[in-house]
Amino acid sequence: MKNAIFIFLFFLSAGLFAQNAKLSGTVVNGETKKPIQNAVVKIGVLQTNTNEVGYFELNEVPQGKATIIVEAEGIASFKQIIKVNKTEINIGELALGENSEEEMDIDVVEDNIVTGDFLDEGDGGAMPSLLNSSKDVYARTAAFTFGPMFFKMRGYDNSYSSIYMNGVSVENPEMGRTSWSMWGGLNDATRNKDSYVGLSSGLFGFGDIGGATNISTQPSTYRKQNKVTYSLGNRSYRQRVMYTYASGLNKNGWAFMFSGARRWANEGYVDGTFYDSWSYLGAIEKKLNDKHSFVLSGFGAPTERGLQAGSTQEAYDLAGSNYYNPNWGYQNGEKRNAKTRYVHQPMIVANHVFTPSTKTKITTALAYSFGTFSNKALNWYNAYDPRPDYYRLLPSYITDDDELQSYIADIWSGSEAIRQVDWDELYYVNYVAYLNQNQEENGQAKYMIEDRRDDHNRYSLSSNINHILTENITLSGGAEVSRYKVNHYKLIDDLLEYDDQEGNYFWVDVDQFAERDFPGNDSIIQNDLNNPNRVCYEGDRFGYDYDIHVNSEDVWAQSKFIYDNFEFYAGANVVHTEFWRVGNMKNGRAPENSFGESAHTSFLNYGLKAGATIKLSGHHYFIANGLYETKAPSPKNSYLSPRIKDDLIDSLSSEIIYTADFSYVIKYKRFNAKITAYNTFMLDKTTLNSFYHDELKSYVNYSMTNVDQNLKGIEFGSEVKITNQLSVLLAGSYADNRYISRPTATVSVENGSQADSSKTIYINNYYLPGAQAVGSFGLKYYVNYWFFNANVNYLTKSYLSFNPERRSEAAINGNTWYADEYEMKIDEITAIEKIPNAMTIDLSIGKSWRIDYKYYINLNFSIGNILDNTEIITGGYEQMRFDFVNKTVTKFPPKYFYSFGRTFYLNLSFRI
Amino acid sequence: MKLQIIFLIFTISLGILTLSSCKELELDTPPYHIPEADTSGGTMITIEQLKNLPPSPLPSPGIYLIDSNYFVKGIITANDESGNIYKKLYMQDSTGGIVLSIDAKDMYLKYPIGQTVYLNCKGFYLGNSYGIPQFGSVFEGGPGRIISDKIDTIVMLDGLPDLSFIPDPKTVVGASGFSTSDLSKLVKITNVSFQEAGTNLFANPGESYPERTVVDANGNTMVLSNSSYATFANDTLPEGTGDITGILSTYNSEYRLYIRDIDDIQMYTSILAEYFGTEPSGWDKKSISGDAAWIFNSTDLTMKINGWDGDGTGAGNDDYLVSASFDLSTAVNPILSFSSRRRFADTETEPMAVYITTDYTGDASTTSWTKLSATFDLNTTSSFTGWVSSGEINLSEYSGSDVRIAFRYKSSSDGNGSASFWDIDNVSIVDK
Repeated sequence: MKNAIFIFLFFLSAGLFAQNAKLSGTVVNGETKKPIQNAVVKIGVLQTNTNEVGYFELNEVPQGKATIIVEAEGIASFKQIIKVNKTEINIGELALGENSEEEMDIDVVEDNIVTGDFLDEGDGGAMPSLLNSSKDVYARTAAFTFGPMFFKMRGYDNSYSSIYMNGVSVENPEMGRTSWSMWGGLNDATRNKDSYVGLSSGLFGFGDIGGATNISTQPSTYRKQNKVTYSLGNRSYRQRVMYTYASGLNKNGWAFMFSGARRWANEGYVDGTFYDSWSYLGAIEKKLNDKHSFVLSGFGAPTERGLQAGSTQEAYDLAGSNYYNPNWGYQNGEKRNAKTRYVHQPMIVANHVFTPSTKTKITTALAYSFGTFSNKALNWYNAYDPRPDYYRLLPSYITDDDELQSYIADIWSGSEAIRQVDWDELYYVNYVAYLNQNQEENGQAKYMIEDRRDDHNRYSLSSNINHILTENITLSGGAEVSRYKVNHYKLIDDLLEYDDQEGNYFWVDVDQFAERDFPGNDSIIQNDLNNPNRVCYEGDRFGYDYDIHVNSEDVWAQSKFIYDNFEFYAGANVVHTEFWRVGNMKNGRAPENSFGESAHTSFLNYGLKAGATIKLSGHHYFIANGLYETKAPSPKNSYLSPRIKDDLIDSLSSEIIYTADFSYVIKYKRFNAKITAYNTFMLDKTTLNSFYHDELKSYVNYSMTNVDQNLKGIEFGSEVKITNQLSVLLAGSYADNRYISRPTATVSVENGSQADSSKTIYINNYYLPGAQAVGSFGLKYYVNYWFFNANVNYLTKSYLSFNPERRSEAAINGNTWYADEYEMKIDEITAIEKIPNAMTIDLSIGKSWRIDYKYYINLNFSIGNILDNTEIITGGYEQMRFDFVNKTVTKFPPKYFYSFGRTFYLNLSFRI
Repeated sequence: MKLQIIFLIFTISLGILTLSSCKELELDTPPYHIPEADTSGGTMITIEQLKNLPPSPLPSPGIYLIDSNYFVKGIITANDESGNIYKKLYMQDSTGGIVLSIDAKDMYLKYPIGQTVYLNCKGFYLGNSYGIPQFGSVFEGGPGRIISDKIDTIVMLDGLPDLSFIPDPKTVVGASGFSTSDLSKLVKITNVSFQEAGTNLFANPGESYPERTVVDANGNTMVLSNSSYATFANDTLPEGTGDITGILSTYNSEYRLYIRDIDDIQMYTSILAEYFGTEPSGWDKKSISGDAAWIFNSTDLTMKINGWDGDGTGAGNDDYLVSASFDLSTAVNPILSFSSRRRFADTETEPMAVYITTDYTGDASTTSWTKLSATFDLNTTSSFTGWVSSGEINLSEYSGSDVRIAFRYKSSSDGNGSASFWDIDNVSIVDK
């Protein structure tokens, strides 16, 4: 099968016999009639830039119908179908309107990462800022306005969109999602994108149901520029400096681009959250001749930040702020965050762009990426839980002593020291333990900072072809091979020693939780039986150490047919995935299946999609799309307890997705609108959560299989130009996203104190978490290079992420509820929590200047959530624990995440 | 244009169709198992019939094997939740109560009070344990506990527990009035006080047979048998007067009461307790006419009044004894009671009456009084024959007010030489 995958489904056409044409024209500003320099003009695979007087020339344009696209910065892009029926055509002036939607340059995706009690939390959730520039009013609103509130379009998370960088997929093969932080800060050098939202056809890959994006860093496609940007804000980071240089294509066929950025904050919007991010990108292109171009790009964004943790409403109320962050504490008078993240995942891509004829373009990419994703957090051994908002430390834990309860409430709200991490105490406890080292029970440090690292490397080879077969038919296809390996392990980062005790403390690599549950059993407690009772120091690996390998091969093909009143496309792909685990430690809880290479698991998946557009007239379109695909479960969700052993989840199977959407589009000069109805089924999904269970004193892996979801809804977006300067936007969606099955949950306790067990979870018809109905009303005013935007936004039908345990038979049976209360009790335990509705108002204002058509200055200022509403819950989760004895839901209340209050962002850029 | 409208309508209706079903969808809930007892093939009998199965009352210790397929339906009235009852459940139907002797702990988790159960009798024994019929098994030839890891096949659950299923306890005023047919039933005694209130615990650590006596106003006693393992063992015996609910039992032909939990003791809240140990402060005396007056009787510790002037020629008397003001603002069900005793006759038709007011002017003669209905001593002989209780006088219509009560004494003014002599004592108002 593998071999078959490499066979392209398409053969190249030798080209048609018709003669090619030379096409020329001039691009001017529609308002000022002044020429636009450096605009990109594209017809199919052909591309050129306008010169100083806006003139362009494209040779070898095939005869027949062609779509000409003109793009320039600060200008609304232009698209027109022209008829090529002569060998030399001058199409005259192309007048472009000014773009009032100058990109805001706000890194939506980077904001407001809040962590829960879960392991393996990546970036994700929010939609990328790149969709800001989408032409679809609804998609733009959903991404830009609702993205920061963790709204997901159609309820799809980021793993249902495909992202390519210069033609290579950048999706994390283990997690199935894309980490946007890979190119964070490189806004100007990743601006050239080819993207679509939802189901559509693309030129660079099969895509996915949420859409697809290909980011290009090919220097010649960037206008010649020197650009400096400075930004000031009060969100995750406070300041940003970006510099980008692009040379344009010089006479010798060389083009260069360089970009560098730094974003930083000593403390962001939330206490204790520092931010320090650098980014770099370099790209070089050599155009050998009309047929061959070579591009080499490399980029990375080393980013370190202090994280915020969600907490319970009780803790927020006592602390007096919904942005209370339990992660930090004072150490020597300075705020130290116990949970930090460092990410640096550079990527190098070499591209070969081959244009053998005017009808054919073949883009080949060879990519290598590597790097580290590191999360640091506290760990402790035979000591009390150091988290200040640990539930036993809160007043609600005291139920039988009102006096004590109010005392604790008083000190909690009165003393910052009480509700933050007490570093001095942790150091002191370690020191005392060290002094008592000769006593048997005190062999090692009690507290430390551990560093959970995922180090990966990946090789990818991909090749895509686009070929114009006839005037009406375009064929596209490609293949990609990827080899990925990630090493998961823990390092001892800091044993919290006093300065003069450096090197004196140590940590024995055994599972303290197993130690408690299996006293006297010396082998079961070992994390590595090959190195039993190993004494570790700072910098040593401990706990777990294993590799996940993921190999994949992917081929895709697509045909697109374009006629005057009808467009149609159909595409297919086949993906082969193979993954396995290699254990580098022999775990005492699974001596037989933890060390060495596991069996290989492989899946063969495929997808089919098709769509049609009927142009009822130039103003009315009817669009229908459909997709059926199977998706291999991500390796991350496939191993039941990967840190311990290589057991796969029972009945692991591919996810089945089928979806259809129907849209009606109206386009007039002053009015455009789109209404879409969609219905999506996602069947046989597998999920896995890992979290710390403080009753079992162990990490617990919670897997669910046979998770079926149905997501359906209506989306609407429209824009009305009331005058040339003033537009009104209205966008919104109403969805009904539900679970439609009763999944099977399997619980695997890492310390082995309980055998793995399965149960049915009763969540049929439960709502998926997140907002399911949103609406936005906006005004846009644009005159003389000033622009002004105002939006009123509303989110509703929002639900909290729930704890499946509370929807199991065990949660509601085996009790002594009375006849008159049991229905209420069942309801209390199983009811799904609705998040309060939220309204925000955002404003932005901007101005751009052009001086001598050489210097461009752009200034914009935006205020988010101008009403400073600090009560907006963007999400949260019910704790994964449940009091099965007393069946009270209040013992482990949910944790919430709040949207920032009023924020501002000032952006100034200067370009030559 | 028509086509466009058709497509627009088509899209919108698809959208509506897509969402239309969502209203009726019910959120899932896990199955909830309501127990159902299987009594097929058996014969239903009552608790009374069960107790009467042995040919004649069994001599103690004695046992009787039930070898027929009998089922008995009843409601659990007491279990081991507080630890005061140990390895026993009590069940009751309209014909009586019975104790189930079972070798198990924490049975309350499965058999809450109010739970309907069916006893699957066959193969088990009816025994006489210290005069109490019990359902159980055999131990060394005598009555013993049922030992089984499948108790729920012998005491079968049926439906959900419901406190309204619990039969109303037989209620007696004071601590007397029970018969052997009340054994193992839920009973309630009212108006009783602990003899060692405020000084002793329900059970001292290690105490073998902690027994605590309660006494009613008439001196009748009842003994509470407690366990030193009970959750309330270390509680001090509460002061005051109140009601006690519990399971009636017996030991050496004396009744014993097992309370199920501390909540079974409902002490009344005392609003006024005037026993006239000293001259009461805040009380007013007002003589409207005559020479007699209310006097503090420091010998008997009562308030007394005597209209007899020594020669029988005196004029009639009319005298108020007005209580201090007391606050009924938080009382829900305030009950007034007092004791009276009298000697000698009087032609006055109402020589003693009790009144109430919410609006005392400071002068009984100008105050508007409402008469309360009370029982007074009717003795007309020359010597006292004993105290008579007033009965419970419900003051709930005065809840929320500051009130005073007054005792009004009258003696005749006809000069024929008669006047009654009164003592008033134990004036109390409690919130029950």
